[in-house]
Amino acid sequence: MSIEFIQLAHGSGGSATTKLLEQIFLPRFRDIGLQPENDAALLPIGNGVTLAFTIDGFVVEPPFFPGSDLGSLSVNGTINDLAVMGARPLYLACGFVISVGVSSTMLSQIATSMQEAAAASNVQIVAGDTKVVESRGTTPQIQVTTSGIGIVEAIEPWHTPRVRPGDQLILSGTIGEHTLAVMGARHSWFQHDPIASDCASLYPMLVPLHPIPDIHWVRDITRGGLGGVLNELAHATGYGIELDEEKIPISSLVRGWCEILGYDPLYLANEGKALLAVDRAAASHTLSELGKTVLGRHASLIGEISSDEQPVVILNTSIGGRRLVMAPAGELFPRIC
Amino acid sequence: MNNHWQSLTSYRSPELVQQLADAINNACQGRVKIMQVCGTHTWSYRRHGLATLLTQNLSLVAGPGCPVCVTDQGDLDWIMDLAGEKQNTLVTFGDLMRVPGSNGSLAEMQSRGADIRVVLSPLKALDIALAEPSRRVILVAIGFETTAPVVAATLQHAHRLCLTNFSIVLLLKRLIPALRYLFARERPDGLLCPGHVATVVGKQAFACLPQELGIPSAIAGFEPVDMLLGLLDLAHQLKTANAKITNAYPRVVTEQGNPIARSLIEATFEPAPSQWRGLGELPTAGYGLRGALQRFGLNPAAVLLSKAANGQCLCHLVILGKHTPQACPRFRKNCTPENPLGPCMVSEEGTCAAHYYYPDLDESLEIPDTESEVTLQLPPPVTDGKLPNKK
Repeated sequence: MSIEFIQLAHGSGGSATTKLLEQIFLPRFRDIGLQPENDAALLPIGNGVTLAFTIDGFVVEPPFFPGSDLGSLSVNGTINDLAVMGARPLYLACGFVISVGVSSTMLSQIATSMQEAAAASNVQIVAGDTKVVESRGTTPQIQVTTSGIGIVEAIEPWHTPRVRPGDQLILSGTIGEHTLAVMGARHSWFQHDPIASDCASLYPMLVPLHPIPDIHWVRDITRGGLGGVLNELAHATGYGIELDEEKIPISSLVRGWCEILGYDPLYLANEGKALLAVDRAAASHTLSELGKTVLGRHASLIGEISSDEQPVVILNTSIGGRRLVMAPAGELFPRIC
Repeated sequence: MNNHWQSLTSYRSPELVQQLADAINNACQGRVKIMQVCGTHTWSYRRHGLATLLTQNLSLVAGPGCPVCVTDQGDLDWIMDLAGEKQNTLVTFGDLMRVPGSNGSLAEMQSRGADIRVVLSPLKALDIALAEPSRRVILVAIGFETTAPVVAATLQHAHRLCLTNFSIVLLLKRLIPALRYLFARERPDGLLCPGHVATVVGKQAFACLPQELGIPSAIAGFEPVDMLLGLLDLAHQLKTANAKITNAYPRVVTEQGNPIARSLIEATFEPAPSQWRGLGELPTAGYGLRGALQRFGLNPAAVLLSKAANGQCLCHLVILGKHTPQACPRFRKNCTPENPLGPCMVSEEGTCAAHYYYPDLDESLEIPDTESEVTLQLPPPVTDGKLPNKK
């Protein structure tokens, strides 16, 4: 079915987003260099040096929420797109689209967060742009787009063609915090026991893995959640995936709220978590390296790439059942009872 | 929250689950069709992959237990008309946001500027009415006996506050009368009764189903062990041909239910006719407001006939257990959670959404990407002479 008008679902990271890319952008940009399967493009520039280059847009309502805000999100999000390609993030550029009526206090707070996040990661913000637009009846908003460039340090590329059957899947930590933090702030939920976003730079956690040649593939698990990333991986490689529900780290706070709200934590977004596919022989070494880092201390081996040539994700449920994990679809709304 | 979660994990014990599944499989010798009334049962069953542990003799079919799904399309269109009026602030549970009306969904209306607030508790509507006296705040009350007490509490409090800018679209439904109408013409072999509703109304309220209609019935909770305990009760009842009501959720459900909740319902509502999708108007399967509270109630200007109800989807058959979602030619093709044609594909308790997100392991997921409309062979209408037809 061809897309007539853009709807919210086209931005949710699910099958509608895939359809949007397939219909509009891929046919036009693929031939002129687009590398759609990676979080950042890899650009060899000679002498064995490869640059990683990426861009990402950020809109979040509300712009401030427990654990993070639009500013640190826009810096760390782009840093992470570079970091999961095995690169050291170096320089960022940022563009602001600000609607009329945004307060300068709010804008300053966001800029300060960006400054702090960049400094914490030793990254420089070297170029920027601002545009002001009419605010059309909705709350005044700030959209931030950041582009980043880094140098690949991993000794072998972390990308899809290296993934093969038997690879072990390692999740770097608990899932679901970011979406619940934003939803909590949006709807004034969890005020007694706030859930903080996991927004953080993944670079320090991934640095110790650069010398390990058997790391095959790394992705940050943002929009669409673990379920989304796993389905993309299955489709990109053509192999099936087997997961153990029991092994997926989820905090009891997130688990409890998901039960109440009717959310499946597999589809919640994260801003400081990575999924890795590594050779079976390197799995325990990788886990122990991740375990030494702050962000990777809850890392867990959650499943593996199967030799099944059906690109589906199968979950062995914690009670001993089996089911498929579908790609995410649609926006999240809480339920009645 | 941490402690609450820990106390639930024992209801997901793989060992206990396997023991219960074995017992059910041994007891189920012939083919049996069990109706799981509540949408949350459907979700739990599929999310935990329980089907892969149970005999194929046992088939679970959906029932009319998803509040969004049983809401009449005309009522949905009415809600959307109200949301479209500039002076109105519509307060709703999240499930309703993406339900398609004849002219789009509440989510689409919200993106075009309609003032629609998603809440977790109806009481929040009163905070909004107090804080924004210039707005006409309209609470959309859908749900069953489970949701009725908190809506009742909201109405009582609105009355005490003498609010003049608060009204309610009262679409709450009474499940047990509806089940009696439904089963008067066709009954499943057994009934897995909804633990949430039973928490409020009590075990005894369900006793009429086995006593009058001879249907083996078991009240069950929603964790895998809870559900299996209920199914095991049913398997035993079927084996011994002894229909009764059992309570497999005793940690929550009592004989008489929650007395405070029941008295709130009693003081606020009286049984009234209600429109049910797929069943038509049922005389006592809804609620009306009592006495002075009637001033909060809104009535539709006219009975709306919706174009979305005329054959676009099979929701009305799915919620009565007559069709599986997979039997609908639009399922997973023209109808997805991103582009739902009916409420069953939207709600967190909807049967079609449960089957979409949690497919059968052997289900074909190949979707022909076609722009051609699927032709739908509509089965005969559900309502017949025995049931009152829609006005």
